[in-house]
Amino acid sequence: MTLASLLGVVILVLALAAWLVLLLAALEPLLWLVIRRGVARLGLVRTAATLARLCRGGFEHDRGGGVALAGALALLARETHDERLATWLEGQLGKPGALGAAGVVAAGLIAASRGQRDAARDLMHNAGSFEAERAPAAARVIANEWLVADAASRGDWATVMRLGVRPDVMSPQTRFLAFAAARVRREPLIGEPSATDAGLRWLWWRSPGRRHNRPLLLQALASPRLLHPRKPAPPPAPAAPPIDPASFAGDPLAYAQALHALWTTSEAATSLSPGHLGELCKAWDAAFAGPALARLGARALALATVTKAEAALGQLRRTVAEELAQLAARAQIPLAALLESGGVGAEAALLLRAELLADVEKQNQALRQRTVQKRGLPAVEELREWNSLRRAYERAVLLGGIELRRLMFPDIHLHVCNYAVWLWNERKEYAISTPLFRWLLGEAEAVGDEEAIVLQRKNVGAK
Amino acid sequence: MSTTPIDPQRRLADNPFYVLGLRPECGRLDVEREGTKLLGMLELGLKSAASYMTPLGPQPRTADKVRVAMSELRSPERRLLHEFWAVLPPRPEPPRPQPPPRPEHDLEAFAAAFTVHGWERP
Repeated sequence: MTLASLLGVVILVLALAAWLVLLLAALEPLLWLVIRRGVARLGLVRTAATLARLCRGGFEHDRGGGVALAGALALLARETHDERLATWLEGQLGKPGALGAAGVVAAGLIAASRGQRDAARDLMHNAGSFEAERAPAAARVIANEWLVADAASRGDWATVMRLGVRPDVMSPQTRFLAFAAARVRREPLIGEPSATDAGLRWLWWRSPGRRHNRPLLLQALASPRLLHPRKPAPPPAPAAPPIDPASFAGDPLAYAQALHALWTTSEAATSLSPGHLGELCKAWDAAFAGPALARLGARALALATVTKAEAALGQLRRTVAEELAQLAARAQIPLAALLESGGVGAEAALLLRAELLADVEKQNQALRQRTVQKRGLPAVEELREWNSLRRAYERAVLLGGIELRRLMFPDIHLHVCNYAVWLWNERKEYAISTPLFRWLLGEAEAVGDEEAIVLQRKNVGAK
Repeated sequence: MSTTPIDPQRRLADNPFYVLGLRPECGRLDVEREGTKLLGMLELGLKSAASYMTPLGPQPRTADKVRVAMSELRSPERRLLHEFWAVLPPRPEPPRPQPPPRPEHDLEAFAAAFTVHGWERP
C-alpha cells in the first residue's frame, strides 16, 4: 500500500468519525426522548443510564448528572423502590467532579422514589439556582415538571399557574395544568391569554398523560371562559365548631380547656389568628389564677397523692405552655404576639424561642465542626444538610422576626461563610457555594450588617 | 415540641374517665367495677360497649383501652392529672363539623398530576 492510499484511508476514517459525531449530535434530542419516554418508563435503570452517556451535548457541563438523571427517571418508573439501584445511582453522582443541576434533579428524583417528598422538593428548588447557561435544559424542565405536579397534587394551584407557564422551562404537561387551573379558578395567567375550548383541548392533546388529565380537562371545559378577572367570591361561612367554649363561660377552667381543645384538636388550627391565641392565653391565665389550684389541692388531699398540688399545677402549666408554643408554631404566629399576651403566653413564647434557636444552633455547630475537620459529604448530602439548616433558620426568622434574625445572623454568617469558602476553594463545588454566598448577602442586607455585605458582595462577584 | 408528652387530641379522646364512662369525682371502687363490667361486655361483643363519648365525639372502645384506663386511675398521681383534663363533660351527640360548601369555581388537589410522569407509585 502506497503512502497516498494510506493517507486516503486515514482521511476517510476521520471523515466517517466526524460524520458519526455530527449524526449523534443531531439525533441527541431524539435519543433523550427515547430514554425518557421509552427506556425509563420500562424501569430499566442501568440501560437508561448507559444510553444517557451518548447525550454528550445536552449534558455538556454535567455528564455524570445526565447519566444519573436518566437512571433516576427509570428508578421512579419501577413498581417498587429498589434501594440497591438507588445506591448505585447515588454512586454515579458521587464520582469526582462538581455536582451540576442534572445531578441535583437526579438526587431529587431518588429522594422522591424513597418517598421523601420534602427533601425532593428542596432539591428541585436547588436545581433552579444554577445558572441557566450551565444547567442542562432537560434537567431544568424535569425539575419544573416535578414542582408543578407536586403543587397540583397538594392543591397549590397558584404555584401551578406561576411555574406552569415559565417560558424557559415549561412543557406541554405544565402548560395544560396551568391553563386548566386558570380556567377553573377563573383567574388570569401572567402574560398569557385565557385559553379557548379548542386551545385547552390542544394543550390536553399534547400533554403526555392524556388519560390521567381527562377529568381536569372536562372540569375546565365545564367552566365558562373568563376574559376579565372577577372579584373573588366571599369566603365560605365557617363550619360549626366541634366544641362550643361559650357554653362553659361560667367556669374559667372548663372554658380554657374547651377553647384549648377547639384550637388544638380541629382542622381550624390553621386559621388561628394572633387574636385567637391571645384569647386562649388569657383564658388559661384566668383558669390558673382562679379555681385550678384550689380544685387540685382538694383532689390531691382526697386521693392522698405524694405530689403537692402546687407541683402538679406547675407541671400542667408547663404542658399548656408547650402546647401553646406548638400551636403558635403550626399557625405561624409571631413570637411577639405570644409575648404580648403575658402569663402563660409569655412562657410559651420563651419555650418556642429556645426551641427555634436550639434547632438552628445545633445544625450550625454541626456544619462548623465538619468545616473545621474538613469532613466532606457527597455533594447531594451537602445540599441536604444545607437545606435543613436554611429551613430551620428561615422558620426561626418567620416566627421570631427581625430580633431573632439579628441574634442568629452573626453565628450563621461566620460558619456558613467558612463552609461555603471551603466548598469553593477546596472542593470546587461552585454550584453549591455560589447560592450560599447569595443567600448570605441577602441575609446581611436584611439585618444591615455592613461588614458582611461587603464580604458577600465580593464573594458573589468572585466568579 | 419534642417535650410534649401527649398529643392534645389523644389526651382528650383517650382520657381514662371518658373511656370508662365515669366522671372525675367517682370513687376507686367505681373505677374497678366499671372497668370489669366493660371488659366483660367487650368480651361478649356487646354493641353498647363498643364506643364511648368524649367532648370531641364518640370513640371506639377496646379491651386494651379499658385496661390502660384502669391502670392509669389506680395511680393517685396519674389520676390527679387525668382529672384535670376531664373537666369537660362528654357530649352524647356532638355536632359534626360539616365541610364548608365549595365555591363553584374551586379546584381540588389533582393527585393524578404526579402519576402522569410516573413520579408516584400507585
